[in-house]
Amino acid sequence: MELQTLIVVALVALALLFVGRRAWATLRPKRDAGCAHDCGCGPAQSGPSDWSKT
Amino acid sequence: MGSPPVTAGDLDTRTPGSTARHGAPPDARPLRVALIGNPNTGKTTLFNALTGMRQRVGNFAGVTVERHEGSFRTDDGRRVAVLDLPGSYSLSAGSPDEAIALEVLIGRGKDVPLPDVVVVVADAQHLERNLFLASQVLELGLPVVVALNQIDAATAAGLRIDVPELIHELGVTVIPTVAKRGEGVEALKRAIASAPTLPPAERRFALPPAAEEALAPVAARLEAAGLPRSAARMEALRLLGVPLPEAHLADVPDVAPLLTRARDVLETAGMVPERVEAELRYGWIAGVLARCVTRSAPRGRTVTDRIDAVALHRVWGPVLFLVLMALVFQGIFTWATPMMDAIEGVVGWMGARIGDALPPGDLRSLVVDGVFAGVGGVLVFLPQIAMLFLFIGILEDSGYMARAAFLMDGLMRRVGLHGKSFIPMLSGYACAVPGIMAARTVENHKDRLATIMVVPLMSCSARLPIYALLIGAFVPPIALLGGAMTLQGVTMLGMYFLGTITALGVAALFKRTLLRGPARPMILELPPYRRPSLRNLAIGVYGRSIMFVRRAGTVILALSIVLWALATYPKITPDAALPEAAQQEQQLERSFLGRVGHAMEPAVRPLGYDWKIAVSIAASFAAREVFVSTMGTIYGVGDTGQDDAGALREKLRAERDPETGRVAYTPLVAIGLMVFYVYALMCMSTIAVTVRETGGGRTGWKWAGVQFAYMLALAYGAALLVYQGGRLLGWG
Repeated sequence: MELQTLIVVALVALALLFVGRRAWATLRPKRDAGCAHDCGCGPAQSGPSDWSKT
Repeated sequence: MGSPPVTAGDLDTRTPGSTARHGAPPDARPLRVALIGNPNTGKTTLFNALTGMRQRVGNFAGVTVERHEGSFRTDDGRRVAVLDLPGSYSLSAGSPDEAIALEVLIGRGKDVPLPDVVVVVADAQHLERNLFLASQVLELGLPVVVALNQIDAATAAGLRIDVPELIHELGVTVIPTVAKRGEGVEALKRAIASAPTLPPAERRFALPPAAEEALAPVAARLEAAGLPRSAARMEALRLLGVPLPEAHLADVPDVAPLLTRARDVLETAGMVPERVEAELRYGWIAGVLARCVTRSAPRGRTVTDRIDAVALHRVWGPVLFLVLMALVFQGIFTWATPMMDAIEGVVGWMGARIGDALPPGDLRSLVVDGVFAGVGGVLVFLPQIAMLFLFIGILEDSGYMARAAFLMDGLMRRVGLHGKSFIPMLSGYACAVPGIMAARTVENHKDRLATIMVVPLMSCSARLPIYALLIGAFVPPIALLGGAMTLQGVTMLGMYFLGTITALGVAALFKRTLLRGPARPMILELPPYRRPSLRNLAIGVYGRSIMFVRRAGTVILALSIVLWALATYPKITPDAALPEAAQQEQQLERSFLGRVGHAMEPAVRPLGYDWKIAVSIAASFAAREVFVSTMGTIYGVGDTGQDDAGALREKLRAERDPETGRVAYTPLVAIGLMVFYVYALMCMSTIAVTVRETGGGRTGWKWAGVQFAYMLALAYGAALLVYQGGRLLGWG
């Protein structure tokens, strides 16, 4: 297989993985709050912050 | 006339610092400061002034109330972490936003520790109302600093506030500020840093003996349940006016009978329990104002009054509203053009250079036809997105948005919605996701559901690139109203109005069927008009623009690559006898994308669409802008070497129906397509947030399903009506 084709296959596979993960993260059933990531309304962040209890 | 300046030196004359209950927090972690205040006090402006760009946005745990955090460093280098609590008129939690503020301040926040310092932002012009919340916060026993904001406007209105006397009355540091100009912000930072070393605030008035006696068992029970002593006393008094203890006291069920007993005792003593808190606080506030505030002259007609005479006029008000909206949408077209041209030029140039640098083959095609045509085609709309948010920011910051809500209130009530629903609907112009989340401020469950159901009908910023592409391609820039507007601007305005009017109609339908219930009156505060803060506008526009670019660089980039692959494979051996353009068309038609499109085509043919539009609509379910990038990829505009959006517009105009040879996309098709996008819920994120906000699980999916189905039916029906009706009238 040519190098160009290999790179294209890798890029398309990565893109598919990214789109699939994003779709799952957005639509999976969960009750916790928060914007879908990159919904366009603001960067919803999670994880510890200065205001985390722990 | 105005308030005397208060300097850091004045602050030092306050009660000398003794060891505070909290003591100085350990230096190992930052000082945690919570910012609270009534809505429209300039709290967010002050938060921006304190923290600058060092901000992060998230949500409070378990609820979809936005949580803004930021930080700054004190003079001695200590980090201060600022939490912007939702705007509240009091700690008497009426909505989920207010409940969050209360829970955080009494130490019952789900994932938020008790703050080290609370900054109460009070509007100097409306101290009476603002001091109600302040008096509640003072009783929590935490170090408190009061930021007396908009002191300039109070001075201009003829109010003279004796700040040292106010410090004496409140027992805490008071800093006059003008947040939009950054005045007093440094003094506020110093006051925050020294607040933990000062004695904590406390209740400033005495309860009548009967009330003291009645509330003692309630306070004792709350204290036993883990509330700090002073917070327990504040809660006992506050709960007198609350029908049932709220969710945060669910683990103290036996407080309810104690409250009932306390109410009985107060009634026996001749008091009305529900009024006790308000009467005590406003009684104390009246005394404070009498000693601290003087009015230099009787209040005459202010600038705000004069503007409102027109802006809220029965006839001129709606006319002004329409004119402003028309200006906004015309401005989006006219003023963004130079920047768009510049981005188009850069994207086209880069595409051509990279195309030249790569050897012919699939990788070159992927980069040029997939990435540059797809992502570049969307990126050129960045100036229009920025312009939209600039206008929204100006309308919000100037105080006009509240007037718009007031003008719409009559209409809202006629359709059966609560006036508060207009705010989520306005947010929907930016993005349906925060709009649906903002519906949490609507207390009534049915009203909230009706609001959530219609918010996605408001044209969000993701639809803008689609409208801009189609209007740019098919609507001529004919001058209207003596050149003040063009047909393009009017068409854009029409799309936004169509969504808004339909949202009201659909809400009326919901409120008369599935979500029947009475309309409730709204209390709306109209803030004085202000000159928008450039800094605030810049932060808002920058944040939204970065989001748009990030989206283009992630979701749209990935989808462009996937769609390019679907449009390129499987490779066929084209008919060599055909011209090159026809060979490319043959390859495209037989690709995976072409086959899927052709399978979908019969469903959209009645709307005047071909397979290319069909797959672009389907792909845009991930994000509406993907419609533009998909069309860009399908047409492989990157190869032309021209600017992307311009080239795409030309390709769309030149497209021919392969069977009839006639023009494939007419202005009628474009209008029908825009109408389709006004109504269709082509947004994965909106569906996800509707599921969560309507209860999650099966209930949530049921409401999301209702929303998706009715919007799709509406979109299809309206687009069919436009296209077939237009053809019958001989328009296309």
